[in-house]
Amino acid sequence: MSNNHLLKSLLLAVILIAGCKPELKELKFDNNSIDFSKFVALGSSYTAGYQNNALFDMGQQNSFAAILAGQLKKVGGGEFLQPLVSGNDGAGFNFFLQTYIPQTKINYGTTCNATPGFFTFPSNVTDIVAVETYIGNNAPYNNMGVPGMKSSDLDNANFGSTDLLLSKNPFYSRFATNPETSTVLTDAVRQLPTFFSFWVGFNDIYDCAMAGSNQTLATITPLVDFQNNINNALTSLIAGNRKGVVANIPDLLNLPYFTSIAYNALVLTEQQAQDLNTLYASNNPPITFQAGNNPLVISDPSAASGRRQMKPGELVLLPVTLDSINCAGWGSNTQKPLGNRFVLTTSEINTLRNTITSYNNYLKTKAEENNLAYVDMYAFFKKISSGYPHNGVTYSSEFLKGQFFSLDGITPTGRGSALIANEFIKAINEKYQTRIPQTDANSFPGILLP
Amino acid sequence: MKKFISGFLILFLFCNLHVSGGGFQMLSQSHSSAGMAGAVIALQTDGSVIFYNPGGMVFLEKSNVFGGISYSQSRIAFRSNNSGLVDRTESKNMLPFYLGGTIKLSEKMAAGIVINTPFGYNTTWKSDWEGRYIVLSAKLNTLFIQPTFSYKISEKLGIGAGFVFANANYKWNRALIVADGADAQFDGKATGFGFNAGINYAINKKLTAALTYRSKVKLNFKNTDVAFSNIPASLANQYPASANATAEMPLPSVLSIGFSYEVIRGLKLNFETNLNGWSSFDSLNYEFDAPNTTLNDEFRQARKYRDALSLRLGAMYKISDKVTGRAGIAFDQTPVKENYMTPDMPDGDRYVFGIGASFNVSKTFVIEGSYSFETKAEREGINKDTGLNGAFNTLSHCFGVGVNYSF
Repeated sequence: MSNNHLLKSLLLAVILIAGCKPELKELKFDNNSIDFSKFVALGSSYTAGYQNNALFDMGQQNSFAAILAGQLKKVGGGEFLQPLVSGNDGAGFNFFLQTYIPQTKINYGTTCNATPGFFTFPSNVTDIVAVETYIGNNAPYNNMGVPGMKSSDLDNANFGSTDLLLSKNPFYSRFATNPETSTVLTDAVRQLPTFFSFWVGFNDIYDCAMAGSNQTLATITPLVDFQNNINNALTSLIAGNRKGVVANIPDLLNLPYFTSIAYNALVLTEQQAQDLNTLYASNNPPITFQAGNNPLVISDPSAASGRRQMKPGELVLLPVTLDSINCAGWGSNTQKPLGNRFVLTTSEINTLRNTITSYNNYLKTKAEENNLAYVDMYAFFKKISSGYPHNGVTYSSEFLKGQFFSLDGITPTGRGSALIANEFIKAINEKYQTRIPQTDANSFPGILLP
Repeated sequence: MKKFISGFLILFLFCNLHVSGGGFQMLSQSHSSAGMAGAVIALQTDGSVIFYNPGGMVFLEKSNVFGGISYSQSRIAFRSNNSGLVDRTESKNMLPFYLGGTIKLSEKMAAGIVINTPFGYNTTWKSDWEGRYIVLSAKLNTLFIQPTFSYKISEKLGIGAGFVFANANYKWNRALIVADGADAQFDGKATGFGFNAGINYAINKKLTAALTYRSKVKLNFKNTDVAFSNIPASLANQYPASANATAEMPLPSVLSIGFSYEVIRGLKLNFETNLNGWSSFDSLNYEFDAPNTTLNDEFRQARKYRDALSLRLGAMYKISDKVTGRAGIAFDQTPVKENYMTPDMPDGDRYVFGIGASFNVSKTFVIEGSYSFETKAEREGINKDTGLNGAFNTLSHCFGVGVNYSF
């Protein structure tokens, strides 16, 4: 055997080894002849990309609707125009108090009772100008998501009024084609969408829930009205046999706004408990405290003394904040029972949850009736609550740590929005036999920790 | 003949020793074995018998010094069933080797020692791949030292046993979701002990039976250095710059039964079956030293391996005084369950085909080589813990040579 031959053999070996790589075919994606070229998204905060209690550029860029549109683009979808608020301050709006609010921020430091931890605080910038700047000359926009929009706002011309007393919401008039004439529905339909997403009804229930079911602040949209509003909107949207996807309403027990503070979050020392027992000695019904965790004290007009302790299953709302419980005496001081606005009692919870079920039943029926895909967000948010693994990251509904919810405890982070977009994609794929790719949610922004 | 030999030499260069045994076993502890897809326990060809069947060592006619080295390259591909995209690991190599000697002490006794690398893998994914929060890179190296004694009870029956001292290094890292660029790096060294025993029984002049058992070796990674980098200041206490953790990784026992049958003069057929006790590998859990015990939950990996069976059939034929040819086929069941595939070592059932030869340079000096390749079907699954959803495919290449000198 010649050296030459050996050399050739070696060379061949190197070529063979270098040229081999494991084969795996990329998945083929297709739209199964469903036309995604003009996708219009209708909905409220989730669709708009509202997060950290505000509407601002980064949140909007990472709305579930924008992420979904990005994936649809891979199977024939077109451009997705969004009514962006300029800058990353933006502003939020408290719908039941009818006031602008600043974006919520996060920091780390010493809390009021000297324990280190994360805390949220309001930004010192509220960029109302950025929100109110009219950008309707570029209308209509593909993303018709309007934070806080209820089903009754869909086809209500007043909703687009620049007068907040009429619109009760600053987020549509800024990009309405004709403020005071056009409606969210007419702006959506005049784009002749080939495909739409419809996630409406959240605020019909949650304005009231977030106000502690305080009836003077906000009420639930009665079921009959909700049904009429939804039916009207869907009738216009599906005209010409349009395809689309309808999502339902998540349960309040799966949103950190309602679950992050426990009913018995009042932690007392033996001494503190004794002191409070003295102060509450004559309360009716009797209230007693002990060392450790104690139920918070709330006002209740039906109690003889006007206040009582919370019961297991009742909910404390996020705006109460742990600091006000730990250091300001809220929920323990005889003068500071938690007000009706900050808690949900068992009967209020039951009413809200039953309404969610009724809404969802109707949404499901309408989706099926109109040959639309149906996304069960109610079920998906339950999965998030019990821990949802995605490419090695376990998402949960734990406030600040769960990665899914933003700092307001209601709306999702970019990562949460991407997981939501994936659920929409699964539902569309199943209904229309399309193959739209999902996205790697871990690549989107989460809560930026200091 | 010259052509034939050079043909075999080419084959030597393509051996695939990164195979056989399921999981991350590398049963490439001799090239004469790899040429028959591992079916060797009832044979006494060369010094490597010390590893495959200590009971056969005493039947070697002479004393031996032997060794071999391989260059193996392995790549894994992953296709996400979510995004549809394909990621591939970088080409990474391993250098499995073996080195040993056997001494015939008397007609009835033989002793020997072997140093080899029976387990290992080396995987590196790209930094932006979909499973970066599960693993970015992982590398396991093992080194076993096995002193062994073999005793001939009768002309037909031999027994042998060896003590196994194992050494290992396991390094891996993954990204952390808490911030862009944050990651966790683990680097641990371990030792472990075990044994290797075997019985060799010549039923008649043509048929030999063998029974061997290599024990489980529990690698005890006592002082694993853990480093966290690019952690946000607010989490600096939770993820300290450096921490210490312990973990245990069991390497499986292997119970084997094998037969060798001389069909005609010069032609031997060998059959073997192994039960690989992988089920001992339930999970890889890091227990952090105080005050970092809160991290324990975050660094648990369920593996849930199951016991796996291998079936091996090999043939060797003495072509001439100088050349012996070998061929073999094996079915190797994977210990990895579909819903517990991990991207460091996804694995799958494999068919192994081997061919090889040894060339007697002189009466005492033998060069041997083998070529084997494996087909591993593309495998799909959703990992129960991580949610990673997709298909894996693995390809390994290897080349190397071995020698045996008897005296």
